[in-house]
Amino acid sequence: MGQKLGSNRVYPIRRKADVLVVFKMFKARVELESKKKIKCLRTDNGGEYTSDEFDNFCQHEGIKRQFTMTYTPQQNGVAERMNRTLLERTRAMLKAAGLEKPFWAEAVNTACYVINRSPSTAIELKTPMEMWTGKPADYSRLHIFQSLMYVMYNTQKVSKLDSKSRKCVFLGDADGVKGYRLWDPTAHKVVISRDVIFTEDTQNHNSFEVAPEHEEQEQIESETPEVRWSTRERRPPAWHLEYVTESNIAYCLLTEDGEPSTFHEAIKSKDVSMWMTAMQEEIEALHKNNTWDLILLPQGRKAIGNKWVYKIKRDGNDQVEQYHARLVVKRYAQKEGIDFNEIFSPVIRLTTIRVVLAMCAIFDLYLEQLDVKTAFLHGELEEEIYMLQLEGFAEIGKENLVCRLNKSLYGLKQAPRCWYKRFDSFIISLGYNRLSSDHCMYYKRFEKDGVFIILLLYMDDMLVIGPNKD
Amino acid sequence: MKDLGPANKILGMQIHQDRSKRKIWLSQKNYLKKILRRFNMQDYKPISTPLPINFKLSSSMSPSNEAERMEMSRVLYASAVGSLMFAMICTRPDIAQAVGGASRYMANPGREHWNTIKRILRYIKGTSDAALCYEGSEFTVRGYVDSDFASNLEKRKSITGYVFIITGGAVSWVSKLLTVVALSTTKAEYMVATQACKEAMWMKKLIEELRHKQENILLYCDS
Repeated sequence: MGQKLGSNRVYPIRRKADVLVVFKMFKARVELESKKKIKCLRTDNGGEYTSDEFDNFCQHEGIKRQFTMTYTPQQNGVAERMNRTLLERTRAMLKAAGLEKPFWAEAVNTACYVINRSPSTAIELKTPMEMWTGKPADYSRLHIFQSLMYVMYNTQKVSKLDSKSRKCVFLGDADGVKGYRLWDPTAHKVVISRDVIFTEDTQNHNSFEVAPEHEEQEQIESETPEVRWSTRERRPPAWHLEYVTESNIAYCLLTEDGEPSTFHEAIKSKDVSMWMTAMQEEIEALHKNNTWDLILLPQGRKAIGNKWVYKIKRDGNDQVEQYHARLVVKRYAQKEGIDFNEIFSPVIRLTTIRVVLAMCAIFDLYLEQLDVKTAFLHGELEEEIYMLQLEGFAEIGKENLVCRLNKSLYGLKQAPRCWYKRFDSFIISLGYNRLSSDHCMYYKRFEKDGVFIILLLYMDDMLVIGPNKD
Repeated sequence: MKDLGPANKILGMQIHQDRSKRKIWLSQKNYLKKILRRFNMQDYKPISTPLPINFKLSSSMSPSNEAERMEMSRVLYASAVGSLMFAMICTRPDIAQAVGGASRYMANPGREHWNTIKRILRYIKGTSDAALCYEGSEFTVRGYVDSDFASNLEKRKSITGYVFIITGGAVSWVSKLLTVVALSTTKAEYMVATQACKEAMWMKKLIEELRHKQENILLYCDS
């Protein structure tokens, strides 16, 4: 093992009783290579080392024995340290390669091969190989453990039209011959060959698919670390293909009333010009309202998506009155605490409406209805919300910017609340009182003539009640 | 903001005002026609009451085997109850008890429960033009409470209800199963009277906030 001297050697054995045979082999080889004699052997007190047979052999060869104290492995530090290094590398290699435990011996051998060719601080960053042979280590035969390779068939064994190579995995350098030890997963045996092509550097995984002759290999292949992706051909679902590419099918997917459900459907529908004008109108209204500023998305924030909702407004006789497009925010992407906090918004009690209507009947009051156009767009946001630019309407040259919302938009979770707050502060500034029994009801009395106005609010619907018509 | 002129519609309810007679009607004609069409009941024969006499729904009518349950799964029970409930909340105190009864079996409705829904829809068919009408010269609020002692067959809880009427038209109504078991008819009565008093107090406050001097609200109950 001696690192000062040089190389480490590993002899995987099947049974502990084989130790002596292996030691004799080792001794002969090492003594010949180094032209020195083994003078001292330090081991732990394992039964395989303390047997009479082993002891007799050592006495006969004049080798001094050194044993560690019981339960004191520190006294055999060099060997124990090397054992641990080997074991950890072996375990890591097996795990990374996804190999079964029976491959341990191959892994240990390869680990030792690598250790003997790795620089070590104990020998001044030289490699153990260099120390042993006096020549720098040769790295030309070093390959990734368990990497895939193609192995040529012996030309005498295959006919012309058979495939010329098969896939194998690399296990290590073969001892004694100029070849590699390879595992053939199809035949389930170790082969030694020199006619190999390595694929460890090429990331082209498609080449795996062009070897159809190894069907059963799939399973083992999927265990190798190289194959990170499944070899299944990726295709979008069939319905998806039709939807995007074949415009006639896209037509069929329109809703019954001819109302498209997405922007793509709208620009492919036959009413495309109507929808475009409707969308332009909406965008102009939003711009006029100063709904957003285009800015760069701050770090750590996410922009919320949006979509168009299309509606054909019809009058009582089912005649098309108006094409209506509305921009809505995808509220499901909003995160609590970031994009919204409070979202409650009060609505009026139906009993309140009926009580007021009853008063209206008895005292002969006027009943008027008001409608707030695009009510929710008036609400002012308390939170900072970022929205992606509109689909199909991104501003040229500013495609990387996002919209920072100033006003609330339809679809935001807090839109009703923002609108209610805005309306509430506005109407109170006009001198109305909010009733404590129903917060959606406002009352104003003009002192000079005793005229009063009652205002009922239900989101964007308003009822105004008063004794005369103003 | 847009002035739409005299109010004729709010929350799907039609408002019709006759100033000369000092009358306001509140109806849901269009909505009711729509739900009848939706459940394909527009051609059914009308009927004069929403529930048969002495008829009580119970969970024993719920399907017990998988075949019945599969059959009932094709029925839009929950949406029918929901549609009727909206009508009940807006303008129809007369179906409150029937809808309330049917809605207690939403989780596992049986054929008998669905027949009840259909009967309510037939009743609606005959009375879809009915409207709440507010008329008169005196602004008085009267409340009526009653309870049906232990009418819930499974839990022996009482079904209670109240209605408040202002000048001939109902403004506030409730029909609900009491959450506690009343041990006597009197207890059931005063429990619901408490509920009704709370509503009366709220209404009194509301009316007073509108600067209308409200005398005491009368609450009628039996014992």
